[in-house]
Amino acid sequence: MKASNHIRLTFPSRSANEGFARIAVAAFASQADPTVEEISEIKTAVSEAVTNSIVHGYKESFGPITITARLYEGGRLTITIKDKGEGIDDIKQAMEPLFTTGNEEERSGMGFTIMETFMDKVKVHSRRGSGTTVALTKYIKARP
Amino acid sequence: MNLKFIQNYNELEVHLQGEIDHHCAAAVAKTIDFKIRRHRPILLIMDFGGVSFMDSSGLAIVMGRRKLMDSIDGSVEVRHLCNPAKKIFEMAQLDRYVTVRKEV
Repeated sequence: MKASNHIRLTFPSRSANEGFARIAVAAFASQADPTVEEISEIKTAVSEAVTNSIVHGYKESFGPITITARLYEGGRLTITIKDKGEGIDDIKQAMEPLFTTGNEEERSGMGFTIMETFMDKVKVHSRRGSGTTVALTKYIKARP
Repeated sequence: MNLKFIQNYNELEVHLQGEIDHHCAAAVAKTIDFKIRRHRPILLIMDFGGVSFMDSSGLAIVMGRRKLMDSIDGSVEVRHLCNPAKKIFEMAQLDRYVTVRKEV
């Protein structure tokens, strides 16, 4: 099905852009008339994925993060967050609750669990050395 | 993110205001730790009433402070959690590690 609208954003992996990224996607998603709760779930999931790219994908270096969001008829929203960072060796392990390779003082290991709880579908593609793409889907229910 | 501290005897209260994400997490942790080390409270109260957005960075902030409070034989209480922060704390079963005050 062809998307009825879409946006694409590319920005450097600086943590100052985390707020911009989640607010931009939330503003786009608001076209589908989501509830306040749905908007806050979308913002949180995007924030987790972008933070993963910054902290784990690029670690000490910087690189581009590209977000593509598409809205389809019926309220289906897809969001992909793509980096060209170092990639994930074991995706299954990375998605386990409380697993983190990050600094425990700063990271909780709950990023993927939060994405899975707040979104309807989460898919991760990654290859060592060439980057990671996280694809999120949420169905925004029509309200009477 | 804005922090407001109130000290009463052995308690240190911190009111978090604004958005909590990875961008501000390190600075927030550092500021709270500085106050803990200076006042050495028995109880650290973290009030989330003014938080408009929180991702998993908020969990790491609470867990890290709990670790520091543990090291000085103190404890942590969190207050005024509302969604989505509340949902995130429930997911991580935070109430196993800190006191979550029930709101009436």
